[in-house]
Amino acid sequence: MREVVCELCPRKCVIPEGGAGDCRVRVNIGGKLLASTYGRPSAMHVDPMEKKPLYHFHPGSPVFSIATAGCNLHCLNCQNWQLSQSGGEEIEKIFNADPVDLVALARDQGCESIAYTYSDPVVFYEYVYDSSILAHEAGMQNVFITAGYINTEPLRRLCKVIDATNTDLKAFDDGFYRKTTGATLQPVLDALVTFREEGVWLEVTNLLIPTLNDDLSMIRRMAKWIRSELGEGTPLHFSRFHPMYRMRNLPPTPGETLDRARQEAMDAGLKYVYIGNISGHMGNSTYCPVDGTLLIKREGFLISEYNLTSDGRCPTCNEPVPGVWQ
Amino acid sequence: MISMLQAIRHWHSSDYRLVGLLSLTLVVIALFLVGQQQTEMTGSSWRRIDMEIFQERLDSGKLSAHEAEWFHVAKPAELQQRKPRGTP
Repeated sequence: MREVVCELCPRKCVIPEGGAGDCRVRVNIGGKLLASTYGRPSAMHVDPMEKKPLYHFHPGSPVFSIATAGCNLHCLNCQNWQLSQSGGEEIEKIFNADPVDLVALARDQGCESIAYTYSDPVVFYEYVYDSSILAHEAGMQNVFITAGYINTEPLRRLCKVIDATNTDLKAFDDGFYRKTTGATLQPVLDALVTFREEGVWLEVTNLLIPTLNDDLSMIRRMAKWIRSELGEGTPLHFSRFHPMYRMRNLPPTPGETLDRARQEAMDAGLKYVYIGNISGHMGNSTYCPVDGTLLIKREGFLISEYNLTSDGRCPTCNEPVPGVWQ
Repeated sequence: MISMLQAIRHWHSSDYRLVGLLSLTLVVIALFLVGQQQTEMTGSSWRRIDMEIFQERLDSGKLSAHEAEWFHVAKPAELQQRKPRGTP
């Protein structure tokens, strides 16, 4: 038996011949680990950048979004569980799109960027890496939507070829991570710091689940950590939970909970705090942290008003707003 | 309450054995369920997959034989950490 150790994520699965990693898609055949979904996406869509969500990165642009089967987390509330909690041998819909095809497809669809998203792109790392190099050569951007459960060395290498990330920080509590996702907190915090150090544009999402991770003191600690380790200009998205998959016993997050969390994070010093999954909420829009001017008004994923200057400043007070605007 | 105590007083030894057996069964079931849940949650190692279908899909090109990066052949000490998830 030629067992291999996968070094990609903190699980470090020891995989015997004929077995797969915990992610289901990295498979040991003859003592060689295969990235079995390389060039074999199971989801391909054109989405608005705001859906990722990325609010400070090429706002309003379409992004070609792909995912393969598999995931290295097992969140009880997963929105894409049919995709993420299946292996390549279980899933019905599989497209054939090697990196060259992928970049061409994205271009044909009028997209200037590719998002690796839906499931966790950590598990199709090699596909992301090779596609991102080709996308850069074609003058396109790469965005990586992830839970950030990846080892530092592979992440640093990946950071050279990706331009933006929205990384989930699911809770500021290791117990929550273990119980609800099957992962642990510290590697995610390390990944967030690595993204920041490597100069990848970074936004953070926190899905608020009633009774599980909506404690205001925890939210305050999380916001303070983000401010001190990632910077006060890091956009933070509080997202509304909807009952899903194996967590149908809890109600959707009340609007007041999201409002309180947003206020708590802003009181802790974060300048751009958003509320997601509630269409038309004022917390979907971007305001100048100095004078309160409405900079970008969003309704759902659509931009209905855009008042930033061409170099990303408030038109009233000239305050620069961090982001990648052009 | 009193009639329940009176009923217990009239139990035969075979009744105690039955109750004991039932209790033991419940404890075993509870331990099994908790163990299952823990495995599901922590997910620390590898999974069994249907190799026949996997190989078919590899041969037909539906899945890829692209070699992954970031792995090494296991050292003896690492083999002791191996724990199957046990999913078919």
